Amino acid sequence: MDADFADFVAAKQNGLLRYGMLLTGGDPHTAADLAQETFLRLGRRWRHVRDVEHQDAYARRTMTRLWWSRSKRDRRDVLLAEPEDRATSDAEPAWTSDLWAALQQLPPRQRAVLVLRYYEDCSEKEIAEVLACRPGTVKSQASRGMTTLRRLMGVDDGDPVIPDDSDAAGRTGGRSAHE
Amino acid sequence: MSDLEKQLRAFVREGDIPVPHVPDLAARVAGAQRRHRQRRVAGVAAAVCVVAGAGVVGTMLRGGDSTPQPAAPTPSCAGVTLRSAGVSTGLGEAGPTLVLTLGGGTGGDARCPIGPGTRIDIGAGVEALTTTLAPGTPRVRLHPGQDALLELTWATWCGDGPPRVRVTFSTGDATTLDLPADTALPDCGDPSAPAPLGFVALRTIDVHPGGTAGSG
Repeated sequence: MDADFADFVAAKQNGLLRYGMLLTGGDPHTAADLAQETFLRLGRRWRHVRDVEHQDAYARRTMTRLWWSRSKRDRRDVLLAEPEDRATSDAEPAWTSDLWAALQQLPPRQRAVLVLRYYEDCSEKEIAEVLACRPGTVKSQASRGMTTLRRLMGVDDGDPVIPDDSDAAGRTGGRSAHE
Repeated sequence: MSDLEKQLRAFVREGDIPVPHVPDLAARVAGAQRRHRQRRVAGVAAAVCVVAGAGVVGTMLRGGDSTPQPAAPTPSCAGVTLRSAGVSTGLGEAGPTLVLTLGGGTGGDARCPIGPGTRIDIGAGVEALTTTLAPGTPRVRLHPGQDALLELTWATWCGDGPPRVRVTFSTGDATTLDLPADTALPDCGDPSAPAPLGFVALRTIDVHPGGTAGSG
């Protein structure tokens, strides 16, 4: 492994593992697999990735795409599985906070939309590109996700405001500030 | 932005989320990279086998030429020399490649078979890398007045400085050349698991008296 890339893996693995936990709703095994696959993808394109300005955001979006592809595939597998198999996969997650518990209960795409929106400050169009869907779908998924969160949290306030592209164009340099 | 949205933003960025402990993640990534490289080399070899097999089948279907052929020249690589060796850095996933130019000499009518069975050694000792072109690799017959270009993937080098390259032909003849001192060598990577050399291409080039060459 390239020494620069090894340093990159060592420096970023905790952040990516945490992000993987967010995406997967608290599945440590899938989060670890996703982190490994993400680093593998980044390693294959390391000559390009090492010059990327926002490496953290680039890595998280790579992970999100991988996870979404995997989620769609796994969903098909679950639907094909026997009812007994499905029942055993419904283990109660670890509840560390009300918000975390509520996030864990969201459907995968709604959770991904909210994570991309509030972690990355992505616009509808940017989220749609990552999840390979239409901006209208992003908007509806965000709305449903927040509705579910409000219900689970027992609060009542307005819909989320996802910036359109003109809003997104005005944002610069804020994505990696929280790494 | 509502209070819930503010809470959500703060939580996804800074919230207390259990992070799985994966102490061997870097090792797992390195291992997966090695397996990926090996699969890629195997894929190239398989593609070469398919192409070579199709060529053989095509020749058989054409039925060949019934005209008696003159006796084939004796295979010999005694006059073949390694004229140059260099490293092409490469772009993207291709990685660096070793490009060897073998000169067929200027006299006689011997034909030097290059292909399956031809062995390439880079360096000596514990750091040495060796490969023997596998069955199914394209075969060329290098004759006087021709050059042969042989290209191999060369992803890792953990030795000191530019090594010596040795080509040993199936006839038993061999030729060697030291890589120039300013050669841009591949990175070492994992010293315990050097990447194997992989066949990329082999072709002959006619060398014209004026010094120009044409692909053959």
